[in-house]
Parts: sequence; structure tokens; C-alpha cells
Amino acid sequence: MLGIFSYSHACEPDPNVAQSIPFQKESLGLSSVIENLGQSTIHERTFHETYYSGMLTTPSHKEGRLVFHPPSRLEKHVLLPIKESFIAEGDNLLYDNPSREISRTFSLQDYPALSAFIEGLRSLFNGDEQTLRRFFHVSMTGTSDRWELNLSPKIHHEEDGVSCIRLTGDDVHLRTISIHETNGDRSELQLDSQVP
Amino acid sequence: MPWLLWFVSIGLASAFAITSIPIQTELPLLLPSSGSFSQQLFVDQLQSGPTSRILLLGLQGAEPSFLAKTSKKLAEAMRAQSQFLHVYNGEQTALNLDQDLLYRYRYLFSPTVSPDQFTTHRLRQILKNRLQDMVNPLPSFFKKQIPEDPTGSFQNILQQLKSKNTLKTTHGVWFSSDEQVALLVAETAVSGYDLDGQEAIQDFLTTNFENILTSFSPQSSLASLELILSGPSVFAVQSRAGIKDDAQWLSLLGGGFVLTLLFVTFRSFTILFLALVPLVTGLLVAAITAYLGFGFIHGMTLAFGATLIGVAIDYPLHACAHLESDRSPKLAIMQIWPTIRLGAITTAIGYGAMLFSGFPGLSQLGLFAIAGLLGAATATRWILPVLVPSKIRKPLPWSTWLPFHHQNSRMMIIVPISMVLSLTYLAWSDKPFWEMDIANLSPVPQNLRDRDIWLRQELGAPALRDMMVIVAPDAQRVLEQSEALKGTLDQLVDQEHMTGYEMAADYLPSIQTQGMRQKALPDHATLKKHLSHAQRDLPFKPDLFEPFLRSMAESKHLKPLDLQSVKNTIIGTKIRGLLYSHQDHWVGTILLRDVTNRQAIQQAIRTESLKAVHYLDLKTESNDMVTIYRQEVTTYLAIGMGILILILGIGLRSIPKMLAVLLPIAGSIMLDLAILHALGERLSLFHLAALLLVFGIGLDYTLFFQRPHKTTAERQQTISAIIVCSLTTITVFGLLACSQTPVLHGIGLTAFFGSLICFIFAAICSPFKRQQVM
Repeated sequence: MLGIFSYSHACEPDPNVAQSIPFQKESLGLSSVIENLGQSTIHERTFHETYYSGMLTTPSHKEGRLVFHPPSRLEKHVLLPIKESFIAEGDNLLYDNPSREISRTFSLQDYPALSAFIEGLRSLFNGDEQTLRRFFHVSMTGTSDRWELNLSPKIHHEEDGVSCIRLTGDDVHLRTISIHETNGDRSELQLDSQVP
Repeated sequence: MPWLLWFVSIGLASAFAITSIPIQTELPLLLPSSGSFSQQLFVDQLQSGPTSRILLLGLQGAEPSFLAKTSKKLAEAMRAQSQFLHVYNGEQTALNLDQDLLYRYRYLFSPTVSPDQFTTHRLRQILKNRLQDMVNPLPSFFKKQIPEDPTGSFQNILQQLKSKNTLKTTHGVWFSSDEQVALLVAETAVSGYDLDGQEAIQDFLTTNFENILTSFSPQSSLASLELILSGPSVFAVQSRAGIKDDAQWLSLLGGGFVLTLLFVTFRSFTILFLALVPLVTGLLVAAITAYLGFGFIHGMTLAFGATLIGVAIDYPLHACAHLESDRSPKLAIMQIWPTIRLGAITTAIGYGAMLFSGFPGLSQLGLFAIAGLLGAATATRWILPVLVPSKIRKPLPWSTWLPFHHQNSRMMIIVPISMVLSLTYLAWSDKPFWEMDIANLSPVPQNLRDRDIWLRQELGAPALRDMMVIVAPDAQRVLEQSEALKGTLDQLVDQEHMTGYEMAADYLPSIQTQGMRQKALPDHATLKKHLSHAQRDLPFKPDLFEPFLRSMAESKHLKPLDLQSVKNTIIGTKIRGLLYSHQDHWVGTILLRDVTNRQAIQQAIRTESLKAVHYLDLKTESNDMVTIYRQEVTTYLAIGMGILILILGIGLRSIPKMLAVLLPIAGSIMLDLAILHALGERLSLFHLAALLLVFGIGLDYTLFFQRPHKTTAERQQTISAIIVCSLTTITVFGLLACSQTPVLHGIGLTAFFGSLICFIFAAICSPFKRQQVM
């Protein structure tokens, strides 16, 4: 149990992945991975999320769907254990929680942590390496079969920022997204099947 | 050297008037200080209430990101100025200043604090919600507060301090729902009716806005970026500027015409100068008298008063028309003096009725006009003769070119016929006669007023129309009574009679309420017990909520905050306009939003039998006020007319003569009214003031036309003078009628038709009878 809370703040490659699959520059370029991600046109995936909070003794689990409508609408619909949804469009984020009767719009500018995460995902799904690099230092390990992308925000918001986003995948498929917050909290998103 | 004496005294008087007489422009100064209680509250609100000080700002015409940047910079510049009580544009900066104080007092300020909030059941519910928050990508400053404030009391307070509406926020600042306009709202420190102060603020804003624009590097994309200013004070300043502008070009054009006409007629610069002597003297006498009586002169008095005594420019014209080479100027003036005297005294008495009005605005205007007229007449009688050169050229004989010296006395029948027709038309017309809505008198164009309404809706700013006013001996009592009213107000919102309200107690609870909340907080042991029960099976780390227990214990012993202790905080500025001391009592204002059912609100307060609460509908109040004002004017006009007729009768020493003088004037006024009505004009105070003027002009024309003349030549001199006088008057007011400003347009139109008809009627009612002897 305690192992969960051994946070890694820096955005370094996961030692497990790095060791088992050494980086092969010849077979795989960063650009082609991003390009591949951008080409997969259907962007609706179910996910399992595990969230590790420093204030809780056990991690929390959520399930739902992640939807991307190019170029900028990103939706995260949590279905279990309670329904809630986050819909990012442009600079705005709509948070909806019917069980608590909350429906509010935020400006992403006020929430840098979210903003970085959303920008990262958007540019990835758009296959837009340039934008991605504007927001993050990007590094990659692995092969085209199994790659790992590490995004470390160029601007650090000490108070409420993201310290690292790590994405893994194979081929054109994104498999996991993990987000490390500067306060030590961490979210692991496991993307499952493509929803038909 | 009498002219030197006149010069010196006029010079000194002008110097005194210009340097020492304060000219006020604040509208409330014109309104009565007594009257019904709600009238007083209304005047009070105009003077010191928050509504007139609200300034709405919009930025449009560029990319949202640029608009947002501009909004932030402008707000920053505004916040650095003491002229603004507060500035909101959606940024959180303003709140950050006083977070520590608010945070410490969160359990005394949060409206959600009650004994049942801290039961095991309720706490468990709250904790479950926090559990959701903790695993959401919320900002960590928010998450960090959870252990200290799981009930979210602080977030509640912040939410309340922000705008009541959920405005669209883009790039960190407020935007209109279509994202085309960045929105800001500010409250100025000076009253909305302090037009000089407001003008300075608006200048500051435009200058700053331009500076911000030049500080951006790619200028081309910002070419169409514009700043919109709106709000009552902006309109007031704009109106004043509009009236000033109109008055300037009108006086330039009108003055040019008058001077040209006079020069063509008399071909003498000396006479041009002489024509101004009575007018200038009259204006100075009027200004100094009004100052002695009131301590200040209102801008409106100056504008209207000057118009009312404008008739004084006719006096020297009559005098000069009668100058003959074989007669001393003094004799010529003495010859027409009785006519001028009768006209001036009668008119002055007509205006005099206004002196007794309860409206300071009216009585000041009355005093100003009387003093001005008498001053001008005196100057004509005693100063003009001294200044007139002994030899002047014969004036142009206008009368020989116009058919006024040989009309048929049978034409007189036209006047009574027109009177009957006018009265019949007015009596049968369905069109509204009076202007009931003062909004229609606003010189602000409809599109700007529409934009103001739109901005207000987008910003969720109250429409500045409906409010409740609470009067109590001290601030705490006002706060307590406001809190007591909340239930009723919430009910009105639930019943959809309005959409919301804003009061000082929203931001600063009364000491009583803070104390009650303190009592509602559980003691340490109880809370600890409830909390541990509530946490059962929930995966919180042990002792996570220790900080909560500590701050609850601290909250129980805080000294409640009063008005004094929040004076320099955001709460202080928020409530400054909503709660203030006035004379020996305290006034609380509750702004009501989007009221749809005024009757229901009246009713609700009445049933609550809250004696200290008064509901004010500013629009109705101000319309009522204007109606009362107008009724007063009408009453005093009637009284004035009565006295005037009496004096005229005494002066002419003959009832038939008096009737002969009154007939053309009465006929003119009636026909004037009928024409205005037919043109779709609704009568307001300003039309009435112009009718007073028409009366004065008509009286002069008639008296001069009906003066006994010994010779045809003398008769022609008189008629020439009247023609010159009426040409100037008719032209000047004709120009005024072209003004875009409704007030000036109304006065101009009324006086234009009035003086034209007066001239014609006076002429046809005065057939020349050579045998008449003085």
C-alpha cells in the first residue's frame, strides 16, 4: 500500500519500460508517433482511472469515457462511481455533477494544471507536434510497438501545477496516461477499447 | 463719464460673477428637500445612492485574447486609482487582497453555517463530497483548504463576493455570452451627478485605454478595438457635452445672424454694442441675485434664465428705432419707456410666481428671470441714454416692405377663430398631451440606451430601477433588518417576481448574526466525536481534519467584525454604496434585479409590516417627481397669469385695452400648443418654460404694436423695430428647434412657433388709429 505514495516528481522514463525496451532511434521517430496518434480518427475511448491522493489512505477508482472532437473539444465523462463530466472547449471548462447539482463553467486560465493536461492531449490527438512542444519538453523511449512519451510542462506552476504527464502506447494506440501533480497527487488513466 | 462708471461696474461685477459664483450641475440640487418620505428617499438616492455611480465598460473589436489583455491592464490602472471604489472584470485579484481576514472569519460569514451543519449525518455527506473533490483535477490551493475547511464555507463566501451571476469567463476575464465583448464594471467614488468628477473619470479611462493600445506591439490588429462606456453618469456627461455642443454652434449661428441683421438695419457698430448693454447688465444682475439668494447657480438656471431674459435684447432695438436726429436720445428712450416698463414689470411678475415653488430649481429660475428682466429694463432706461451717441443713421425701414401698417381691422377675427379651432382640436385629440416618461427627454440616442440595457443584462448588473431602502438609527440595525427581510426577498425570487437582490448584509453579516453563527458552532469535543463518526469507512488519512477542529475552536472566540473593522477591505468597498450614514441616521439600499411584478413586491413589504423598509421604483418616482414639478409649474403659471392680468389692467387703466393686449397673446399660445400637439410633441417642463418666454415676447410685441402713435412715421418706426426684434427671435429659436437634444428642440420649437404667431397676431390685432392720443 505504501508503495503507491512513493511519488516521482521529475519527468523521467518509467524504469521498467526503459529497461525492457531500449530506445531505438532508427525504427521509431517521435514525430511519427505523434503523427500516428493524430491520424487515428475515432477518438472515443473508455477508461479506468486510479487516483492517488496524499490525503487518502486508498486510491480511488473511476470509470468512464474520454471523447475528443477535433480540433479542440475534449470530454471526460465519468460514469462510475458517480456521474460527472468535464468538457473542455476552447478556453472554457464545463464541470457537470448532477448528483450534487453542480454545473459550472471555468476559465482554463485559472486552472493551469488542467490547462496543461488538456493542451497536451489536444495537440497529441491533433498530431500537432509544434503545439505540443510549445507547452512541453518532450522525450520518448521505446519502439513503435511499445512507446513511452514524457511531457514535462515548460512553465511550472509551483502551487497547483502538473509536474509530468506520461503517456504510453503501442502503434497508433494510446494505452495509458498518467498525470503527476506538483503536490504529489497522481492520476493513472488506463484507456481501454475503442468505442465503436 | 457715466459710461466709464458703467464699464467699471460691469467689469467688476463680471469678475466677481466669474470667479466667485459656483455653477452647480448636480440634478438633485433642483429637487425639493421636503416632500413625502419616499420622495426624500428618492432624492437621497440620487445624491448618495450607489446606483448612479456604477460604470459599465465593454471592450470590443479585436481577438478575445487581446480584449482580455486590455481588460486586465485597464482594470489594473483603474484599481490603482482612488476614484474607483471597486473594479471587477472577472479576475480574482481583488479578492486576493483580503483573503486572510475572510478566511479567518469564514464560519462567522458563511450563510450556510447552522447547528445542523455539524451533525454526524450532515458531516458525513459533506466529507463524501470532499472525497470526490480530492480525486478531481482541482487546483491544489482548493484541495489544500479541505483539511481546514471541509464544509467549504470559505468558497461560499468567495462565491458570494464575486458577481451574483455566473458570467462567461474567457482568458481569465468576463466576456459577453457571444465572446465579442470583454466586460468590466466599476463603482466610482464620486456621485454620479457630480458631472465634473465623472467627466474627469471618463477622460482618465479613455486616455488610459489609448495608452494601453499604444503599448501593444502589432498595432494593425487593434485598429478597431474600442472602449464602450455606459451608465447613468456617462449619459449625464454626454448629455451635458451634447447640450454644450448644440448651444455653441447655435449661439454662433444665431449670434452671427442677429448681429448681421442689426448691422444691416442700423449700419452702426455702436448700436451693435448698445444692443448688448441691457442684456449683459441683466445677466449679471440675475446671476448675482440668484447667487445671493441660493449660494450657487445651477447650470439649468443659467441656460433657461438666459433664454427667458433674452427678450431684453429687444429693448435697445426699440429705443434705437425711435432715435431721431432732431431729438435727444434720452427723449427717444423716455418716449418708449412706459411700454418697456409695463412689459418688463408684467412679465417679471408672471415669472415671480415661480419664486414660491417648493422646487429649488423653479424658484431659482424665477428669481434669476425677474432680476434679469428688471436689470435689463433699468439698464435700458438709465444707462442706454447715457451711452447712445447723439447722431445715428436712420434705421432701415423694414415696415415699408411689409404690409403691417395698413391692415384691416376686420382681420382681427382670425384670432378668436384660431383660438376656438385650437381648443377644439386639443380637446378632441386622443394623442397624449403631457410627456409622462422622462426617459424620452433623455438626449442620449436610443441605440446607446439599448446598448446600456444589453451591457447590464450581460453583466447581471441591476437595471437601477427597483430598490428597497431601510432607514435605521445605526448601521447594525440596518444590517439586522436587511437580514430579517431576506426570507421575504427569497420568496419573491422563488415566485419569479424578480431574479435576485443585493444587500450589504450579504457581504457583512450583522454582529447579531455573526454571534448566532458562533453559538451554532459545536464545541471541540462534540465536533471531534461527530467528525470521527462521520469519517467511518471513508479513506481519509488519520488526523487529516485536525486543522478543521483547531479553526473551529478559534472561530468560537473571534470578535465579530463590524463596519469599522472592514472599512479598508473589499467588503468595505462593496458595501460602501449599499450602507451609508446620512444626517443622523443610517441608510441601507437593497438592489432588486429584473423585477417583473412591482405590485407583488409592494404587497410583500406591506404584509411584512416592516416599517423601516421602503420600496422605491426609481423610474416611477422620477416620473412622479417630474409630474409634480410640472403641476407646480402649471399652478404657478396660472397664479402668475392672474397677477399679470391684474397688473396689466392697472397699467393700461382700461379693461378693453387690457383685453386687446391679452387676446393676441392668448391666441398665440393656444395655436402654438395646437401646432406642437399636431407635430406629435408631448409637453414637458421645458415646453412650459418656453411658453413663459412666448408670453413675455408676445406681451412686448402687442404692447409696442398697440402703442398710440402720433404719426404714420412713428408707427413705422415701431413696426420696423418689432420686425427686427421678431426676426432675431424667430431665427434664433428656429435654429434651436433643429437641435438633436430633445430639451433644446422642445424649447426651440415652442418659442419658434410662439414668437412667429405672436408677431402676426399682435400685428393684425393692432390696426393703426391715428387719432389715438397717449
